[in-house]
Amino acid sequence: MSQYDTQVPEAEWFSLVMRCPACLSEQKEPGPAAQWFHASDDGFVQVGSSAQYRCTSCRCVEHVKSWRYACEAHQTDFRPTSSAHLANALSTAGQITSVAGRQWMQRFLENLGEW
Amino acid sequence: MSDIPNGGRRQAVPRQTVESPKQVTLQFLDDTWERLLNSLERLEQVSEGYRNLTATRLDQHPDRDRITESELDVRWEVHLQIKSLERIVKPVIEDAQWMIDDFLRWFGGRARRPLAVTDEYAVPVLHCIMDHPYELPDLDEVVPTETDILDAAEALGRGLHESDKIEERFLADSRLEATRHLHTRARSRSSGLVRLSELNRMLAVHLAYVIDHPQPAKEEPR
Ligand SMILES: [Zn+2]
Ligand SMILES: [Zn+2]
Repeated sequence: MSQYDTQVPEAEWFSLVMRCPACLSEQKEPGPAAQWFHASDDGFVQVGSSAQYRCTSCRCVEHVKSWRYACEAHQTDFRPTSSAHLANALSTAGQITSVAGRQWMQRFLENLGEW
Repeated sequence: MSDIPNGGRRQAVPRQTVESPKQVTLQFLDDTWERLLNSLERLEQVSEGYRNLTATRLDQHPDRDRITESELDVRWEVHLQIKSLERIVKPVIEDAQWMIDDFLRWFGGRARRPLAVTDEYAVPVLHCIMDHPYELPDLDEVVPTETDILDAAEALGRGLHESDKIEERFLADSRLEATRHLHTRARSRSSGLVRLSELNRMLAVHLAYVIDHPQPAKEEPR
């Protein structure tokens, strides 16, 4: 499941600073963009050009598929996410993202392999 | 208040995987099919100035009323939509046959137009919905900036939550059935088949045969 980083040496990493995607999906006021933290250890979450996420505290690198977001406005849980479910999310997101964002999303699909 | 940190959660301890109902996947199929055809209709508009719209039901593009994206921008979306659809078709391939017919009636809307970039996608799209290997044309790459990646991560998070809501709707009502929206731009599929035969004769002949000899539907335990 989790792997430790460095398997994508050329990846650039950025602090995950964004509005709350769950609130956006509910058409609720998402608040300003803010840093996201790993729920299990409060580590800073980063997102990579390689289309992976990592935690600066526990160093685990993981694919996005099971991540969900909870801000102070609501609770959420982890979910098992099928390949079709993630694909539907990428298809939805592809309409509202930049050309470079679309390319980055295709890396997700490639990094997934057979799953 | 604002000093409470946001919590990005991950699947630290995976729950028992609950098999989501097939109708959920079929709804993702119908919706992603709509978005794929929407991206192709956008490509027709930016590359040929041809506007014959049937797939605007789920259009959330910020420029949907007056397209400002370039041909390359739109082509990257077409590729993303095809690759996304591929993942959704796989588990429900037996229920995806209707899309072949729908595509041919949609593609027939291009009859008598000069061949253009949109035509390059007819064969990959058909192979994708038949769960056959396909190839997409190479596109120039764009180096993403930090803003591109953060915006994409936010959009993807939002897409996951929106997909969760669709799933919840079906879990809450076991009688709910997935929709099948059609995109008819030609009266019959024959004009689509004729145009396809200019691009890939073998595939057109194969599809004409398949359409005339449909596979008997399999009994699905409910
Ligand atoms: Zn929120
Ligand atoms: Zn951590």
